Amino acid sequence: MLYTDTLFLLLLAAMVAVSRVLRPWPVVKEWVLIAFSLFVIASWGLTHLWIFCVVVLVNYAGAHGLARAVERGANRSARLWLAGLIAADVGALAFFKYIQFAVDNVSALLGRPSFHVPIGAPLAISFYTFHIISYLVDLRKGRVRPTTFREYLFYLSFFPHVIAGPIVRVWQLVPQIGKIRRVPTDWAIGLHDFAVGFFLKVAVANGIALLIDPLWTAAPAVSLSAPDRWAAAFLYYCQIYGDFAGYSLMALGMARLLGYRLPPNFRAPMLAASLQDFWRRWHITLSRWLRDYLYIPLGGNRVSPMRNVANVILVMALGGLWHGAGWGFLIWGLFHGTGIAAEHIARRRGLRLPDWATWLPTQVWVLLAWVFFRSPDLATGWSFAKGMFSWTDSSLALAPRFRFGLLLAVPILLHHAVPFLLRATPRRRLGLLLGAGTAIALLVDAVIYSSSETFVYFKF
Amino acid sequence: MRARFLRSFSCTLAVVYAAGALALLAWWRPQRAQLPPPPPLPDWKIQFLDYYGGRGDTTHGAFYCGLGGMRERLEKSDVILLGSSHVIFGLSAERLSQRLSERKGRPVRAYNMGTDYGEGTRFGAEALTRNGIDGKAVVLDLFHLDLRPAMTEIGNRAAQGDAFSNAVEIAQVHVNFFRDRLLEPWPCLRPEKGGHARFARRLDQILVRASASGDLVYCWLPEQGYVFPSDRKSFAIDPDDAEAWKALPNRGQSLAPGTLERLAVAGNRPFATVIPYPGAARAVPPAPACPFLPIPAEGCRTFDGSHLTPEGRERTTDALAERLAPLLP
Repeated sequence: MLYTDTLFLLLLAAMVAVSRVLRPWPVVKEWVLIAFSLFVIASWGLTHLWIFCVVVLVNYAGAHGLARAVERGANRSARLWLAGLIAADVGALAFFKYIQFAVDNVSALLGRPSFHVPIGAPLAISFYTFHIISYLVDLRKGRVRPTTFREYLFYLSFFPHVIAGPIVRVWQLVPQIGKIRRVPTDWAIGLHDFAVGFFLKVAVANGIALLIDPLWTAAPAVSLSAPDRWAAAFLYYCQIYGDFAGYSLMALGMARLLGYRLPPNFRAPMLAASLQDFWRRWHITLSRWLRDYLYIPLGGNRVSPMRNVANVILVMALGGLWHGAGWGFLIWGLFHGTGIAAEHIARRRGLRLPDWATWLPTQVWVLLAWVFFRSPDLATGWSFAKGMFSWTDSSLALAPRFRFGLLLAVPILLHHAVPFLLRATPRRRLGLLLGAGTAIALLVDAVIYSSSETFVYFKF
Repeated sequence: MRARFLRSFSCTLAVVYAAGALALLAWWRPQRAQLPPPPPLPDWKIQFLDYYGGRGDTTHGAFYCGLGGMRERLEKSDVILLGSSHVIFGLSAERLSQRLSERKGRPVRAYNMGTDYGEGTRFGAEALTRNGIDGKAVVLDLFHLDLRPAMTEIGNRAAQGDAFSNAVEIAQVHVNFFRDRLLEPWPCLRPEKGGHARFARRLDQILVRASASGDLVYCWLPEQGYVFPSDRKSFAIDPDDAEAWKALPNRGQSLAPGTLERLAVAGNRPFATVIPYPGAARAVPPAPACPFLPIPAEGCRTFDGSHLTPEGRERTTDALAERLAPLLP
């Protein structure tokens, strides 16, 4: 069940109403929300639900053992618990997600035909594995206290974030559980976020997808000039932003309507003037997770420059692979890794350029990385990227489909300007501005035809 | 401050939304008046919503998982019609039942298990196996000569899901159907391939079928209205179109791999046919495991260049009954 489906919207409205009624009894309310969250997972297939439940139960039991070891001061035992649980979780993730990729590549290496492994990746496994690992590490380090089963299940299954993030830390959500929260503006801000997120996904991302999806094949039906390819790459950037930032906004809005706050995931990434800045604006919760649970434990920037470069490239490469089992995702990660490593080296050598000078190269680098992220295989990605630099003539003329596409990109650019607009608006006019914006978004949402395109990040 | 914000937010939201909705309603009203009226709701006691263009079909999930009493209906049937929308439009299980019962002198029940989206016969065969349906006479329509080795994306999704997820999907089709009926006074903006978008009717294509037989009751399109049954212009199929009519050289290529084996394992007796359409093969060499029942195209007409009219459906059903009856026990 997609979050843009009418059935889901009706059930969400019911859940919001039930949450309001049950507000004086937060425990009951949370069990109801847990039941609904499990229903949402089950709507994709009962197998996904069983796998999720098994992972949750095994890790809860393991976390209990870890917490006891930490409490006793048994460091070695705690280390073993932590290592064992993380190995099991990562192993499960790797098995489900990468088995087919491994089989295909090993078969290709051995010159043998590959075979289909009838195992698909369970829904949301990438996300809840990261949630689980962050809880286990924070528990080991004493940053969080052991949760009750209800808190744990709610934290992992909470439907606004279970399928595609934001990647929430225990200390961000668990303190809100079991509390009665009465913030009058929650419904207004929640509705606004949900309506705008829905608009970005349905009106913008789906519309762009219709235009450019056919172009990402080895032999697209239309031949593309270099300007067309740049336009297609830019439109994909807009599409994935509309899709993922839209979904994230919807998640924040849904949580807020139910009385919970989730961390934001996007902050105008197209304004980033460096790759490090980009990752403080794009999928913020993932980049923070990678920083806290991978980059820093590897030494971060408190190691030799060479080791630091290696750490950055490794972390970003793994981040790329986390998105999917494909060489394109790895290349995308390496693009970002090498770019960030280069920035580190430049900073160490005292090379600093103003933001206006680095903004365009940064965004072009990001754009080129998206080409590999989106292409179905490396050969197509390479061919597409080569075509971006093959200018057969000096014309910048675009095919008609891209001209319309650039119109669809306007809301994305406007969305990047929203923080400035809000800052410039007097406080007494904020209600007016947000009310009008929400009404327009809701009107467009109601009118636009939704073709049930799945969210891009649901596939990860 | 919060109270002021909320007051200002709520009032602006209500006023802007209402103004926009009323403006759209007023603008769309004259255009909507030129469109055909919506069909009545299905009679849920004896009919079901097969396909709703705004969301998809219910039959893939219902057939595959035997939902909504489908398994029982298939179990009670003696003859099952498998294939794509050509079977939905081109054969009548109720009429076939009557004709076969008359010829055999005993009740013979048929069920129309045609599925949408150009599904080949592999989906139907797998659905029968999954539901444990055996001992039936299964008539396979070889639209496109069933050369597709795999199921459609929709078929795969139904097959990979379970009863629960398929039931949710069926619910979604109905919710979208009722949503668009409720919002019928307002238009929707439909993006189209190639970068266009246009304001169009909300209500989308509807197919309603009879529960007892699976027969198509009506097909309704948003801008044309009823196309089946309909008084609209229809197109003849030229039986002498030499280029279109050609014999298959090799029977083994005329069915998706495994379809016959899958049916035979379940103890079902397969029969092949081709419901007439422009470009259909005239003859498929018969094979012992799968007798071919040719249906003449003479007198058949389509309403869209592919799917038969109700009169064509009667002709093909009668022709099929004539050829099938002697082969049934």
